[in-house]
Order: sequence, then structure tokens, then C-alpha cells
Amino acid sequence: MSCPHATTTTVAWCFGEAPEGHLEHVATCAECQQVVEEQEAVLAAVGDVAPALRMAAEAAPVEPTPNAGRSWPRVAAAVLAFAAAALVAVVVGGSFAPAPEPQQVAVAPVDTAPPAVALPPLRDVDARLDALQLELDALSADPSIL
Amino acid sequence: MPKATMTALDARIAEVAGELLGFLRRRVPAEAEELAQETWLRVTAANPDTDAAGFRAYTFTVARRLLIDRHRQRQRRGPLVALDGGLAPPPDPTSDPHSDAVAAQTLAVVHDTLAAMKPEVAQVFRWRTTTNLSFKEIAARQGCSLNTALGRHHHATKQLVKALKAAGLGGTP
Repeated sequence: MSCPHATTTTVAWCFGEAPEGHLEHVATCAECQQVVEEQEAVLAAVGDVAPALRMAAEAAPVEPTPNAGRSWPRVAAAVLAFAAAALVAVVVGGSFAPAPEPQQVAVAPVDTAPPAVALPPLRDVDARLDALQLELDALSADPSIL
Repeated sequence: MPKATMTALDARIAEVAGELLGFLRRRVPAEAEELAQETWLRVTAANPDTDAAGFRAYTFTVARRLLIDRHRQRQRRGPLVALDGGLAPPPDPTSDPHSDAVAAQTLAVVHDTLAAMKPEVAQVFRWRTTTNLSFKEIAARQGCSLNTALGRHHHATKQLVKALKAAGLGGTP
């Protein structure tokens, strides 16, 4: 997939959630036409079973997960804390080497606040993560593009 | 219509009309004529400035979009089909056993395919297909961006097309 609209605007357009003028693009884009064809084919097949799907979804609802997949701040904090701890260990270890009991070296606990490091704005990172997610999805859907 | 009075647009429509009607009849036999009329109304209003191939693509894109709208309307008022007897309504004496079997098989394939997906991907498809939630609302509920929700739905659709095709249950565009 190389058309940026194929996995985003065109999907929304199929459901009436993008400007109707997007038709002009879809009509001239083979990738987006394929997306529309696939949406139509699946909705045609699923049409008769949608109520049963709905009942199944209601029977076992998946709770909304705010910030699902957004564990990166905690991961980043843990990595930074670990890096800081490793740095402390290296500095301290280097100053007093050979350390007879290195296990007694004070190591910053992982759950302390990470050192003040300038992180990119949350939205930028989110956007990049989303873009990566879309790329991964596209690769999973169509490995031949590799 | 006498050829002398045909406009260029009429001539283009005449070239594609038979193919379009056949396409629609294979998908929604009972509503093919109506959808064809609606397609031509929209195409005529837009009168796309393209070559013959572009005109055909434009026409079928309009038709497919109308089909999607129709499928979604049908889903909102469709019949109940269940894998087990528990969820099913009383048997309809006029129902077609073959259609019921196909519907049950389709449900099994869809259910299994969704179950094999990442939960958040399957969830987008389920919510968008079986509720009135918009992609924006789904994205808000999942705590992700709109594009991620759209990408998840796209991914789920791709997987379902593949599974339905493999099971010989349509899914072929």
C-alpha cells in the first residue's frame, strides 16, 4: 500500500465519515478502489450475521481501554531509570574498583521519577507510534510490499 | 433513445449500463434496478470529466458505495442467525435451509477470524459493524487516534476477506 488514504480516509469514506468529495480520489486510485471493494464484500457477507455478532459482542463486551497500547511513558521511565542506575553503578564501581561487595552499591529504584530528560511532546510520539502501527498493520495485511 | 439526441454522457452510460446492472443483480437481486438508478443519478449529477476507463471506475465506485450503505441498512434490521439454538428466534417456515446454513457458516468463520485477531483490532470491526459508533467514537473509547482505529478496521477487513474467500463464502470483491 502506498496511498496514504487507503487505510484511513477511504475506510472512513466507506462509512460516510469522510467528505463525499473523496469519491474523486477513490475513483482514480486503484488501491482505494480495492479497499472499497473489500469493505463491500465483507459487509455483504456479514450482513445476515450482524445481529448475531452484535449479540455476541454484547454478551462478552470488551471494556474500553483508555490509552490502550500507550505504555511507552512507563517503559521510557523504566529505561531511563535503569540507564541512570547503570551509570551510577559504573561511576561508583569505577571510583572504588575493585569493589569487594558490588551488590551493596546504591542503585536507584526503578519506580523513582526518571531524570529530567527532554522528551518529545506526547502528541508527536503518539503520532509516530500510530504511523508505525499503521505500517505494521499494512505489512501484516500485505507482506508482499516488503 | 435515438442516437441523434444522445448526449456524450448518455453514450457513456449506455456503454456501462448493462455491466453495472449485472454487477448489482449478483449482489442485491431485488434492489438492483433501484440501485442502478441511484447510481446513474449521482453519476449524471457529477458528470465526471474522465476517459472511458475512468468513467467506468467512477460509476462502479459510486455503486459500491451505495451497496455498502445498503448492506449497513440491512444489518440494522437483519434477521437473527445463531450458531447455537440459544440465541435464535423461532424458526421461520419460509426460510431457506441453504441460506441459513451459509449464514451459520459465515458467522462461524467471522467469529473465528475475529477471535484470532488482536482484541483491539477485532473490537473496532465489531463496534463499527454492529453499533452506530463512529470511528471517532471508537477511537475515543479505545484511547487511540482516529487513524489507528481506521487502520485496525482496515486490517480486520483484510483478514476477513481472506478467511471468507478461503472458506468459499464470498468475500471476493
